[in-house]
Amino acid sequence: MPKTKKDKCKQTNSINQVRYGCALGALHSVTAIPGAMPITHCGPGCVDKQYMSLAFYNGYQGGGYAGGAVTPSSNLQEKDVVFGGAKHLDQLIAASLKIMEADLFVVLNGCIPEIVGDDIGAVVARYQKKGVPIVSAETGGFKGNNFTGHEIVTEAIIEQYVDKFAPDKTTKKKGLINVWAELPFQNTFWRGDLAELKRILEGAGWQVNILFGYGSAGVKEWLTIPNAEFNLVVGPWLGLKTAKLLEKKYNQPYLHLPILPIGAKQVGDFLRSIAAFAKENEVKTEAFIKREEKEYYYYLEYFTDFYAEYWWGLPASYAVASDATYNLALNKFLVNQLGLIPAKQIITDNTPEKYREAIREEYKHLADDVAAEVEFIEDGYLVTQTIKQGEYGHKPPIIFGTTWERDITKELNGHIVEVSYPVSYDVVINKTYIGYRGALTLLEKIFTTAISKSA
Amino acid sequence: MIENQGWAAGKILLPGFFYRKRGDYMSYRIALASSDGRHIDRHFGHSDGFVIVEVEPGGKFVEQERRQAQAPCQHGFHEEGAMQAAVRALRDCRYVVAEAIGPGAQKALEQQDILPLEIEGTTVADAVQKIYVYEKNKQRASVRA
Repeated sequence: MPKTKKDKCKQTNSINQVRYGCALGALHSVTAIPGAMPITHCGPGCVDKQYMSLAFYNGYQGGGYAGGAVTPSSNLQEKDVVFGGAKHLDQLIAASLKIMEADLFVVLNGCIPEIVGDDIGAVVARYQKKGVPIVSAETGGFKGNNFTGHEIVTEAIIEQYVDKFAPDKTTKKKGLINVWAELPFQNTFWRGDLAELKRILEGAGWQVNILFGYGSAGVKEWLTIPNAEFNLVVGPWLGLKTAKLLEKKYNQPYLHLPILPIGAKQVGDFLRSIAAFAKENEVKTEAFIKREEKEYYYYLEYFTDFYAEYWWGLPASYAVASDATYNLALNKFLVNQLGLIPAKQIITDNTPEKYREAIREEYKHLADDVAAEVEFIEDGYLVTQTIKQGEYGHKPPIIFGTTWERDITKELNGHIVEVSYPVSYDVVINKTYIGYRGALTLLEKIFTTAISKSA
Repeated sequence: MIENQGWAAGKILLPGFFYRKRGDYMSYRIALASSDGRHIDRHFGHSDGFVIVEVEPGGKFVEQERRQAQAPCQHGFHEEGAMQAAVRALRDCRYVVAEAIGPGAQKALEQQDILPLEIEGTTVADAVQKIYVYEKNKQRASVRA
């Protein structure tokens, strides 16, 4: 047997049961912006694979105006590898501009043309010179996963479109913030989550550039990015790179809040941190929290009968296998607001090394008296093995994970709530699990799953 | 029936796989659809002549012949037998390059293990050079360290 190289998590370079897409998968970050259209320069099947995995068998989110079967692609053949595919891309862009209506075009390449050496930037630059709102993002698969791709796309749009087309790049508008949070489509509930995030931020007095999804004013909203007072990065790491770029570029400070807030306690902390950072909207924030908590606890009061009295047993311990954002968010909520016991925590998004230590620290103080260990694993076999080793006590645990965790959940006789890509057994339209409203939905989901198992 | 009237006339042409069988370092041939021997300016189906270039193991390109062929496409009407014959006439080649190659012809070529390549507005010399680089890279990529 040849010797196999393994990393700290005993992981080899082979991964089964994928938990993210490739960098080209970030074409979904483009389709998530109303009015934006991706143009892809890649092999046949590349877009299909990214779409089917990230946007179809993941909550059945669908393609919409610019995704799925709509996305133009050069469908590179062997001749493009032999003779170069730049001309082919040029033809594709020209044709797309003729028949596709969009406010912004984003050319993304797959790994084939980047390896062959097509000068995609030069092709796109010719259109940029003519004033076409088009940018190029080098998202060859070897650059990393779709989280990396998302940052490449975001930065390409800022550098090549916003910077060029924004009517005013110097004025700062008091109270206007750019929000960098979940990864569209990868985070199955991003639509509902971003809507709730926008709702609570607006409730607390902020004007919000949410940038992706229905709540975004689309491409023209992106043009106001330089006018924001500051950038708000919500989540353990994604978006930090973009915020740092904007800090340098437009002299915008940023606030990094690693915990995507679920439930009254976390949302309260979240909104108060923002008000304290900006020294703004304190009164509106308190008034909003008061109003929302009144409603939230109205519902919770009735829920407590069930939570305290249900005779047939409810889960007490849990494991989470998900991307960093949801993992930390769920842990905070489950420990602080439900009093559940963390058993195994696995982050599966290949978080860049430089952020991992800070994330581990977060788990050391989930509550005053609760700490947990977190592991960074991407391989499905090892995720399963790790969950299997958890100490769950004598009651069946609840597993927050992906569709891949169904088998191990059965083996543990536990309950499963799918929260991370791929979520193949939930049809998701605009459901949210965050904020005030999403927390209640999450409670419904958790306990409906738990008590209906034997029905 | 298509006959070879050029250099290889009268010789027995072996099928393409025979030429490839003895390893990647063998020489190989490229057929390029050209009316003047310099520019790739013909559709596969309309081409009545191909430049046959042999790439030698050392990377030297030698024009072997101008091979005449009967164009299988007669004003949009394709005769299956003529298509097969046109493809057979090039079966000693690893690549066939033309301005355009229809899906039927591509399939017929691929069945003979010949790789069809479409390219517009280029010369025989340029195409051969690019194929040579590609072939070399492909061989390098498939060598296991």
